[in-house]
Amino acid sequence: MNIRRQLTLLMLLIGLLPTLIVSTLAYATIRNSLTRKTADQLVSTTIKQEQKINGLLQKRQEDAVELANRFDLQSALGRYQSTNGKDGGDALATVLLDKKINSPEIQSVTLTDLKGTVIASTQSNSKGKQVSAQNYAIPEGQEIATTVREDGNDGIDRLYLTTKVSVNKKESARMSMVFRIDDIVAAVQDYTGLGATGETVVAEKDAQGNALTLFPLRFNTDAALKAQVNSLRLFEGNGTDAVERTDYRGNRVLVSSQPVGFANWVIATKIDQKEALAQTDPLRNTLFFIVGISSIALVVVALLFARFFTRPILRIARAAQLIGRGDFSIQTDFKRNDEIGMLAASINQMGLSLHDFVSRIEGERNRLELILNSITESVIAVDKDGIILIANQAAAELTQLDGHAIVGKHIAEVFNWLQKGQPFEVNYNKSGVLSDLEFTPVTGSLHYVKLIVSRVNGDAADSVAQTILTIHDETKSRELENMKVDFVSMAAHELRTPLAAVRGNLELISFKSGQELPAETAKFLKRALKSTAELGGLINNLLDVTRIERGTLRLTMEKVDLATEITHAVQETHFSAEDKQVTLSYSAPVAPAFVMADRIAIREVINNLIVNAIKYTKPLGHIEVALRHSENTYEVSVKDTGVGIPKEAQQHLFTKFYRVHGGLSSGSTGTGLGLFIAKSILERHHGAITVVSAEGQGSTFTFTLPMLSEENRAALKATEAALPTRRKRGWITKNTDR
Amino acid sequence: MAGLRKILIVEDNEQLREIYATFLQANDFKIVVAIDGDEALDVAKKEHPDLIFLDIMLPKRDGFTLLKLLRHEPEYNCTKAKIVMLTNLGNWSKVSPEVHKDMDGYVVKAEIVLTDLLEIIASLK
Repeated sequence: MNIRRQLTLLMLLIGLLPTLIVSTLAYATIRNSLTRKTADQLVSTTIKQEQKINGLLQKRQEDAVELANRFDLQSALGRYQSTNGKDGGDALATVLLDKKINSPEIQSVTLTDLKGTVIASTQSNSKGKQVSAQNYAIPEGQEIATTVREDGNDGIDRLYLTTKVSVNKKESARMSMVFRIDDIVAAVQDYTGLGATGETVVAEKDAQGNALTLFPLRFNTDAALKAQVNSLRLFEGNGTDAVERTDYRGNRVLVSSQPVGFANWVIATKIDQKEALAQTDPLRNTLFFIVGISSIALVVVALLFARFFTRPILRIARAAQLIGRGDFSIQTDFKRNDEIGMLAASINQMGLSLHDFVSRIEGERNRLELILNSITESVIAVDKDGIILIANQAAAELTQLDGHAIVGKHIAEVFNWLQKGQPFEVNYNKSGVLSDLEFTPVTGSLHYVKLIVSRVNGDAADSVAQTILTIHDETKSRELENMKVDFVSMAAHELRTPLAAVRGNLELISFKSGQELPAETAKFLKRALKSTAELGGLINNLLDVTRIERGTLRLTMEKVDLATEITHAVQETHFSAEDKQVTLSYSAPVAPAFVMADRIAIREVINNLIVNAIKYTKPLGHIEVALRHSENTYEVSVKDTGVGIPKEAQQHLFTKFYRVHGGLSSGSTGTGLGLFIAKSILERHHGAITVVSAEGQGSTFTFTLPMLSEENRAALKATEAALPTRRKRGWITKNTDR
Repeated sequence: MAGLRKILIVEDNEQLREIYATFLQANDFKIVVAIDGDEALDVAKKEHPDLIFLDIMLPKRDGFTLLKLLRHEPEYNCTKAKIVMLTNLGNWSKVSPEVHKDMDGYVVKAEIVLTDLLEIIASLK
């Protein structure tokens, strides 16, 4: 039920209820007072009727008693009885007849003895006959019996009065007088003041205590119906008030009853309630009319009123509903200065604000989406349960899944990470960078990626991104890198054969005719040889780098005395130090310093450090090589008084192809590979290399190698048991008996 | 060194072949040469050298095939000869164990100086 109907109903209720109550009360009050008035009138009518009937009965009884006490009757009866009927019979008949003649209402008078035998009668030929008991019996305790009965001869109702007759104060006979009852009937049937439906009923109690109508009824004289007067419950009345009953015709009636003093009778008057209250009908109709008219008026007013108040509310509600569905174009367009007007204005304002807000959010989202999709890296936002919330275009391309298909999936469903072919578990709850991960999409080939896991800070609530994953696809760059490595490797290999030829030719010249050559030619030849050696070293470095890159750098581990290797290196580089007027010092320890190492590789590391130191140290500088040991590592340091390395360059020093730019590198040669190779080789030996340097003051490069341990020694024994081999850079031979 | 007088150099690069031959002849070794795989077999059969420097990348038959034949086939008279492989490959880890077993050493041509050859010969008993 909408608000308009509710309001209409409420107003109808408020408007109609008082009208209805007042009308009903007024009607009821008037009705009650009318009933009261009718009842009072009924009671007074009944009393009047009772007095009239009572008077009639009283006169007849007085007649009967007067006759019974007459001297002539009593003396005649005395004679009759004393002479056993021989005398006085005629005198009695004369007295009775005389009475009948004087009183026209008397039908007959009969005198019987106490046993009912007729002594004398006004009716001829009845003397000596026996009469029925009801004609002479008197109920116990009464002096006179009064009944109304139907006469057996003509079927007409008559009044029977039976009295005792005494002779010398001794009850001697019974006298029965029969009266016509026309006057009583007339009195009973006097309906004056009872209107059209009023009736008077006189009844007596029969043997069963039921009321029996004695006189004809106004509307129905049928004997059977007369008996039904019982339904009026006449004996229950209190005689002073009227009561409501249903009469034998089924009408609601008002009944007033009074006992009749001279008989065991009851007289009742009744009137139909309908007639009694007929006066209230116009009033009732008027009230109905008033209520009807006011209802219609109220309905119209209520509808108009409700419409007036609810129309704007319904419109506002409709507008709010549309806004709720996302239609912000709706505006309530009425002008009112009350609270409803304010509400409408607020809704309009709210709609505008929401529209603004939503478009701003949409704009932001579109911009975010645009930004995300323009990023070449895959960006994925994941909630705390690992469900993907956002994935950009790059992520969709990487996973070969539709962008919409990724969102909502669990991260583990989409990505199965591998590292070097082995399953790799990524902890998405920890920020970090995971390099060299491998991932194979649903369709397509293996991808090499770098995964950056970034935890979102703060107390992120449910369904809010908790982790941002950035996936950098390194497959292409790795392929490119591999191609580069392959190219470098191939180029270096291709250079080797001509280089070997050039060097071989130069060597042949120097061996064959060294003494015959002019000094200048010999000098040039020496320079050419030196350059080929450098070129060879460069090619070797390049090849070493490609091997390191591919992970194919092969080391042959053996027991190496670091002290000896340093001595060798110092000896090898001694001349070039002298050439540059740099002092190179090394005090070898007495005890050997055994490590497990690839002899050639370690010698190259030491060589490289010393050559570098010479290169960057100006004439008259010092280079100090030292070998120390701690608990289980050896530490080799090469300290120079050279130009030093700028702070910002130090961290890049051990990366591939890195060379210090600026003045420091001027005049120096190098590939930028030496330190990278050294670091890689040392790491393969479980060692490390560091640098401490201050610009203008010199540098100290220090590397460590683990001491030869017991377990290494055991491994070595097995190797030494194998065939002894000769191994130098560039060649290897073994001794076998062929 | 007394046992290794006759040396077969199998090398398709003319310059290198001549350089090695010239240098070793100057150091009193008897040198025979071959420029491809087939010729190498012929020369070996005819000359039965004490030591063979055997290049790997060769026309007709490659060095590994030659190594296997020379070492295991008596008809070439070289089963007892020392065989040193000549190469420019740096990575010997991928070479099969049979090759390692059959050869007596290898030389990375770009990484040696000529005098190293004498040291290599000396290192072989």
